Amino acid sequence: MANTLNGLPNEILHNIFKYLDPRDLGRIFRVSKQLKKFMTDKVLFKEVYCYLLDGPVNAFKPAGFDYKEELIKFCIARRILQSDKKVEDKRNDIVQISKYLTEACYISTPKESQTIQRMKNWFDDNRGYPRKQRDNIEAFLCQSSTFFRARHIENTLPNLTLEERQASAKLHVFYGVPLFLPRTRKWHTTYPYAVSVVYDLRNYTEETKWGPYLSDGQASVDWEKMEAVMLVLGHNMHAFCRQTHGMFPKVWSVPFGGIAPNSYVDDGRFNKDKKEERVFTGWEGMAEEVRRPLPKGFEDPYNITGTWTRVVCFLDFHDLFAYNFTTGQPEPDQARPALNTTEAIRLITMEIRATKSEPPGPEDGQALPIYHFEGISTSSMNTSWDPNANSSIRGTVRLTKEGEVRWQTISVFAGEERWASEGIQVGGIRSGRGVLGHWFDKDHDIHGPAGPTAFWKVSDGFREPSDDDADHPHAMYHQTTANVQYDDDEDEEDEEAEGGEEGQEHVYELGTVAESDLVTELQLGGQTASQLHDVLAQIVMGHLQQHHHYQHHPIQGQGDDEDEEG
Amino acid sequence: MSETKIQKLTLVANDGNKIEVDRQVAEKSVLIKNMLDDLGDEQMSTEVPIPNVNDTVLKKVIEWCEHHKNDPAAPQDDDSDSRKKTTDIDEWDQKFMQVDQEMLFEIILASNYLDIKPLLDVGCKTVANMIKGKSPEEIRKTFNITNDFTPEEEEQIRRENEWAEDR
Repeated sequence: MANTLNGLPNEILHNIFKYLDPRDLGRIFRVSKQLKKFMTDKVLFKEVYCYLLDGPVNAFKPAGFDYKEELIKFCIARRILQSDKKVEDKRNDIVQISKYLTEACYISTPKESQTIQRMKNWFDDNRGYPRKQRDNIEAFLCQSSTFFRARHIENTLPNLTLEERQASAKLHVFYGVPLFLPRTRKWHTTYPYAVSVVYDLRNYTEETKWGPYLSDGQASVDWEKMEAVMLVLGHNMHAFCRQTHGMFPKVWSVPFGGIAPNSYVDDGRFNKDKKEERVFTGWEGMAEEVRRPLPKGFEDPYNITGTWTRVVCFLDFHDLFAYNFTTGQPEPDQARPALNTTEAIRLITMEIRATKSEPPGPEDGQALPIYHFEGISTSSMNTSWDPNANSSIRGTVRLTKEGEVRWQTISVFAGEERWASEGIQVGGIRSGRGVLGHWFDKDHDIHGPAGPTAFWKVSDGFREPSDDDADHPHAMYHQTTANVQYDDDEDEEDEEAEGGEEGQEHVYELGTVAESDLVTELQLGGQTASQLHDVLAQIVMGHLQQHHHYQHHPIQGQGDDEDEEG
Repeated sequence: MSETKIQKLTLVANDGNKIEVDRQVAEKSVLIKNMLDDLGDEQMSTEVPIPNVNDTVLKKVIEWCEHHKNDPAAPQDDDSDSRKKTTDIDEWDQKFMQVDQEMLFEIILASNYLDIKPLLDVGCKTVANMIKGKSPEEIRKTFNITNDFTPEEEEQIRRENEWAEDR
């Protein structure tokens, strides 16, 4: 009786089918009426999903998550990403792919994510499938205006719509490894084009709140500006890394690194035993208050409190002024010419703590309060002569209507507010990646100066004077998705020899990145992360719904396959 | 107490054949292990009838249990995330599973009845691997299944599952 597949009890068939790829699952349903019945087996879809992608343990998985729907989306995205189509055909799907992959980031697990590992493989051009994978990088990550302009010499691809360019830039920012040279060697490096975005003072307006935002007055993210910031800072940190022979470790080298919400994990470097009351001896100029532990019961949902590494770049003020106000002026809709220049770079250590919260305003995302922070900002470089080296700093963190985490800072020198910044935390709340944004004069002087800045968390604690490694900027962000197979120096060198052009490597080769698995449970002011999961899941769901019409527009294949149940 | 502990068991297949095995081996079966735990050694006869499994299959299952007797016990909770994320089957098991379909399904059913989860998993993965990459028609051929759809039904269900197709 039981000598055939058909003769097996359903329970065992279910056990067999859960090991199938969704592709095979879709075919099993077509075999016979008996097997078709498994099309309504919701548990089966869930198990197949969890076998392939991150399972339901993730607190960010919205309630009512439809595994079947998500599997279908996955299959469609995978089909596009693994196809052999040409770049110009592939990139037609850029909005869909960017939406799927960035959403997948928001719901991926912060540690050892299978989802992220899959995404890395799709965009890995060092392993296995050279031509295909390379095309994914070019088709989906290199389609913003900046790339369009850098490609102009032999450009055969028409420029895309604003939505498509934004989708590409967003995916590139999530990817997080700045791509300087487009994939074919006929292009210019993107750096001077990114410079022309970042240092174009016309982009610093009241409507954009002087941040990397669209002009809608709601701080909706302008991902092309974010991408330009990433490229400019990446270029400078790369150069700095070389100049210091690796004293400044590599950053932004792991594809999709630190991109999930909650992916920041303290490695215990400054607070080896967090539970013990630490004796603070202080060092000169340090505001002691910053270092006190948070009062019990005070939440820090954005995980503000701790030590952050910040990078700031700027143009010589005369150059900036000349670039913006003296040379031939472009038309209002035209970009400024590419500018190949040399910028200054500052590395700063910010030690900040959350101080108070207040309800969100009508223009903000409503799921979390606004949090204020205060602290000190110290130059990490040997520039004691620099009057800008040390300051106090304060600011706020809030959600935008899109659900993004928006950071504002103000630096105060000798009691006087001087610089301000606006930025967005890439990957969402508590991500390891940190914040990308603009800095500018706090009075919004239209003559500048202004420039790009980024900061990322390096510790939930504060350094002790005895922490001698603390003199170096800490460039690490959470690396749980790091994989040895990406440390592919040989291939990197090959590429270098081939092209021989500055700035083409998309992986910085110096320094090492530590894997931090010391702390798995996030501790915040006496409250564990799990207690915040409800509100966090809410935020992410809100984000998905508002920003992407998540539930109402499921990805459909050719548009003719209606909902299965219908 | 410990000296009275039964070290050998005799399993009796449904065709009456008796097979003597080490207790440790027999206890790979959660069914048998629970039975021993519940009854206690004193009341336990050393003969254990296995009414649902014939001699050939039982021998095969015992062979597997012998080979895997020192494997660490699988974690009890069935948390889908702690599951090993692979359909890889170790080499010995692959060889072990190179049997005709009839035997394969018998092993699966026996391991299900005897509650030997790792063996059940290996069996199910083996069948899953036989399905992978095949078209519906090839699956029917492989497993000797009759297509009982009308052409219209077949077309409709094909459309409903188009998302799974490669292009």
